[in-house]
Amino acid sequence: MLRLVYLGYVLLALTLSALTAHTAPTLPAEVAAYTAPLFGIGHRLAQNLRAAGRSLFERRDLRTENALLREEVAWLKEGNLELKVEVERLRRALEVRESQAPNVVAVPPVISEDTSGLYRRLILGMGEADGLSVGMPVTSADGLVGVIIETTAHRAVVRTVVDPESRVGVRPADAPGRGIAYGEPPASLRIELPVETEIAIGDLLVTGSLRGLFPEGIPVARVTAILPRPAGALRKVVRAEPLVKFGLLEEVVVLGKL
Amino acid sequence: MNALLLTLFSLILQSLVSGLLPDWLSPPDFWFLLAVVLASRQNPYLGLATAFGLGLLQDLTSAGYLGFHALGLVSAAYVFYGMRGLLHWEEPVARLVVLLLAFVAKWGGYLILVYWMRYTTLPPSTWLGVFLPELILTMLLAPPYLHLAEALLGPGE
Repeated sequence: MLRLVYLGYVLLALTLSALTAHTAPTLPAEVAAYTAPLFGIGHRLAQNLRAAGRSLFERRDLRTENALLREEVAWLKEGNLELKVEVERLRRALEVRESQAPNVVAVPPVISEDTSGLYRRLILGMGEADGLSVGMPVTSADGLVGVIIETTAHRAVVRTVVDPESRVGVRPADAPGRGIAYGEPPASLRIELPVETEIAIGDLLVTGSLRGLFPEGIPVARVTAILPRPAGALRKVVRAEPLVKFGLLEEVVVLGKL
Repeated sequence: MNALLLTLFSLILQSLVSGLLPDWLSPPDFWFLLAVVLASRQNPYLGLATAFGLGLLQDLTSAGYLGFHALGLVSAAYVFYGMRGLLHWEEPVARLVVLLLAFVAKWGGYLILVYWMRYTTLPPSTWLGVFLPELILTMLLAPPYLHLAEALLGPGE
């Protein structure tokens, strides 16, 4: 009898998944956005604990660090003048970049992350009321974070690049060849590139799809392994580590849709 | 009331431990441990329903496919009831064996749904990269968690 009940639940789960995947694909993401504050408690606590641990570790050698810093300040003063010239040059470059690159829409805080070991999604503390909408690219100072897949008035769900459903068009930063980066949780990417692509371990990969979701040239990951290619294979497959440490993200930058 | 407290505590603990661990390490599955603990204190029919409900809640809070974790947890609870009849749940070693088999059953449930949905999103490397660390950490944290659950809910059946 128990077996029959179990089979009933199996059928129910299969039916639910098939139905909701087509009729209400955004329902779980919407609920996740609403329940984020509950899980945000643990997430915030973890971030504070990590920060406390880091700060304790960093305070250990203060005296030595102080002496080193004084030397560094002297050295920095020398270089200051040179930097002023450089800043002026960069300011001009930035003006050009701002006129060409998509605008920054918002800089929302990361308030929680999903609780499944398989998915890798983040919940942001801003939503439609702040101008966020589905499909907007999300980045950070370190590199590409992902894309917004669901929004409510004051929350947004981000699918990170290591989520198993993530697909990002990428290319090597210094060589031609466009490919697709597939998310491989917990913290890896599998990239398929044309066989002719010249790539080595340590190479940087940046966004590079034509007419894709993401602006060109955002750093994504660094190659960690080149997988052996079976005879006759049409693609070269490499594994890469994302540049962004998702567990340490406190805030992200949301860009306008392309 | 205590069961509700344990549920809330487990869910917050899940996000806390996920946040503390480095990105490359999959967190232990407290949802699974919670489902087993609740199953150990309920009759099988109610236990399966609870596990399924917990799984649905996990699907909803994970922004994933509805039914995915539900099938995993209900499979774990089903195997738990099957194994509990063969092994003594009260003995620590037998308890770990039951947990291990239930954990494997949970992933079996995932695989059924992955096959059903024709996912191309969860390649074998994903399963290994998540399955093994999650299994090891869950088994490591199971004894203190079960101890805490006993303190809150009393000894199971």
